[in-house]
Amino acid sequence: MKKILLLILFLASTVFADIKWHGYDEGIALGKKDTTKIVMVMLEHKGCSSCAYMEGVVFPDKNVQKVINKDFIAVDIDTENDFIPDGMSYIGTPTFYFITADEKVLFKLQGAYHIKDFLGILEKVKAKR
Amino acid sequence: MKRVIQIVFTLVLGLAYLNAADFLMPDQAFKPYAKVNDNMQIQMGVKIAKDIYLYDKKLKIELVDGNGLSIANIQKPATVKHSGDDVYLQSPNFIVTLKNDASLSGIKAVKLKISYQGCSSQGLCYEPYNKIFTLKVDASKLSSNAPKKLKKEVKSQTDTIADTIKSSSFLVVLATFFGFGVLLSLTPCVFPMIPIISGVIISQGEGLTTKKAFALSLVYVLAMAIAYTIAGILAGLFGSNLQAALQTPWVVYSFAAIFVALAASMFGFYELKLPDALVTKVSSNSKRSGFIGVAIMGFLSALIVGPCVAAPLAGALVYIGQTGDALLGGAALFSMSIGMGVLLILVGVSAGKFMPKPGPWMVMVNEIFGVLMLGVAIWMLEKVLPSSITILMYAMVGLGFSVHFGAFDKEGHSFKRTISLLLFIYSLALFISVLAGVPSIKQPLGFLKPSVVTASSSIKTKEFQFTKVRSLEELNALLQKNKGKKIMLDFAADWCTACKELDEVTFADPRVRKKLSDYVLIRADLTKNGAKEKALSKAYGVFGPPAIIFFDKDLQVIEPQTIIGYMEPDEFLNHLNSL
Repeated sequence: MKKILLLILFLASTVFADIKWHGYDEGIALGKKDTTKIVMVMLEHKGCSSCAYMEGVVFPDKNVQKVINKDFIAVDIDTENDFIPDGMSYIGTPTFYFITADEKVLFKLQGAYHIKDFLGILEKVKAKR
Repeated sequence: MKRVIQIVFTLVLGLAYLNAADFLMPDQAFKPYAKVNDNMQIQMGVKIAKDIYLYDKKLKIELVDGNGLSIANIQKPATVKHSGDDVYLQSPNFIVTLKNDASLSGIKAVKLKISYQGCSSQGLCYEPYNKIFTLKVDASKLSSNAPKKLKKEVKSQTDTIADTIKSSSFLVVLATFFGFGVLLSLTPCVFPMIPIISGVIISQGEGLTTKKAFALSLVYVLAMAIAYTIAGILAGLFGSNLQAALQTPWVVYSFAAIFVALAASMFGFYELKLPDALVTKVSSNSKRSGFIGVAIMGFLSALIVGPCVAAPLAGALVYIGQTGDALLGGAALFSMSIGMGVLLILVGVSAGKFMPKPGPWMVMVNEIFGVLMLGVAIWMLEKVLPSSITILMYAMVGLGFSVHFGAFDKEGHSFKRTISLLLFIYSLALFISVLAGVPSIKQPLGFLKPSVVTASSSIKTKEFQFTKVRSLEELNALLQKNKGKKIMLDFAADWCTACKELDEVTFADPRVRKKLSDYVLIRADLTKNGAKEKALSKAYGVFGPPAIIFFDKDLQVIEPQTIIGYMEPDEFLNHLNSL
């Protein structure tokens, strides 16, 4: 069991690099440069099994990666170590905030989702733009 | 490959409904609690909502301010593996035992902090939370070298008794068990033996001295003790259901027949001092014949009439079973049986002493004991026959003898006539109750009560019902179905007298019923006692009914709370409250 998990984590960490994750300030700065993109802020922390699902299953998916790299700027916030921006309340992790570069919240998403559903949500968010 | 990972992950995480966007707020998902129980232990934990689980390594209980007290031990519930972590899928309940090393007294306020973190299986992990509880604890009730003493207090009666044997000296054990025996002799279990011993002694006839009556009673009791000891040792060593083996229908029928024969001899139908072919073999020595006959009666009646599985008996059996020390266990059982016999010896001696001089009185006393013998025979048949038949038998015996003893005579002592008449009326009532289809010993004419009352009481009994199981498979299925609920498992059988008492007294108590209404009630029916039933009792270490076992939310047996034998409603209520 442990071996399988390690394998998954290893695989996850290698493919995970396919999405570029930024810090909050860096993400906002990038968003101001390219205003067609939406900033996707993910609040997560270590030892959160639902976050591990997103990182291990959803984000390594080629389709998810394609959509995110094209239309989103991914920001990762570790709730235990990173500064949490004002107004980003959450009851648990993962919680996603889709915001514009001027920090207007387009959509708040709580919890982990399967690949298909997550892709659907990303499309909806894009339509809100 | 990705597909595989995905499947593995989905399986591992068990994210059941990832699409559900409505997550519970933390205060709805987790409800921490803490309270002090009767043993001055602190029960604390977190009540979790549906689909919520808690991480074991994130669940911590700490003493913030002990006010002089400290934590001796924390009893943790069992965890399960969930995506590689140890988690609680059910609300965990911890039992914190405090110790009082500084020998403080009085009520102390203790501050305890519980920290926890968990996730929803729908795909959201909550932040860590903690809560501090301030609880009032009576320091004088805590031991300084806990948890030893406290643990003993919550041990079951059987365990305590088994421990007594283990830890005490030989003589202390014997004395303790003698005491248990004396106490046992005051329970209804032993009562049926009283007419037997009186009858056996009376039937010795004329010229019976007090000395001989004592000797006979002693022989009877010794034989009974030996029977108990042998049966006990065998049962302990082989772990079989001692009681059940002796309650198989053919054994019961044969003994009932013996008692009917005894009764017949009492009525003077034939001259039979003692009802055994063995006796006639050695009848050349008339003195010895009496003793051997009495010994055989004692031996047999112990096996048939007396095996109420009471706590001391079970305790000794558990000890023998655990250690294989048949000598000490057997000695304890023997001592207990002698204790049980004290009352019987007294009865036997007085039966001999106060026996009237030969004459018409003698005939009547014999007849009365004959009736009692018939009563015992019917009483034994109750174990294997439906109550309508046995009550009909009681009614017939009662009617016959009340008439015989002069219920309608115009002559004779008015006292005797009144008693006979009363017996006649009661027996008639019994008879009518059978005809009315509602046989009842306690309230033969109870069916005459207004029907409204019976209607409401029948509704009540509907709410209070045991689900019967007869095999381990049935039980396990039922347990799994009710996982997370409070479960009480009662081992019972139709032939078990103490079980009937539990049903008619303890479980009939409205307070007990109310308290038990939030329990899932399961009854392991051992009436048939076939291979399946034996496997069932063996799985839970039950020597014989009645035994009551409680399960916690993870379907673990709460062993210290196991009840063996009969328990009064008040005591039973206290027991439930301590759970």
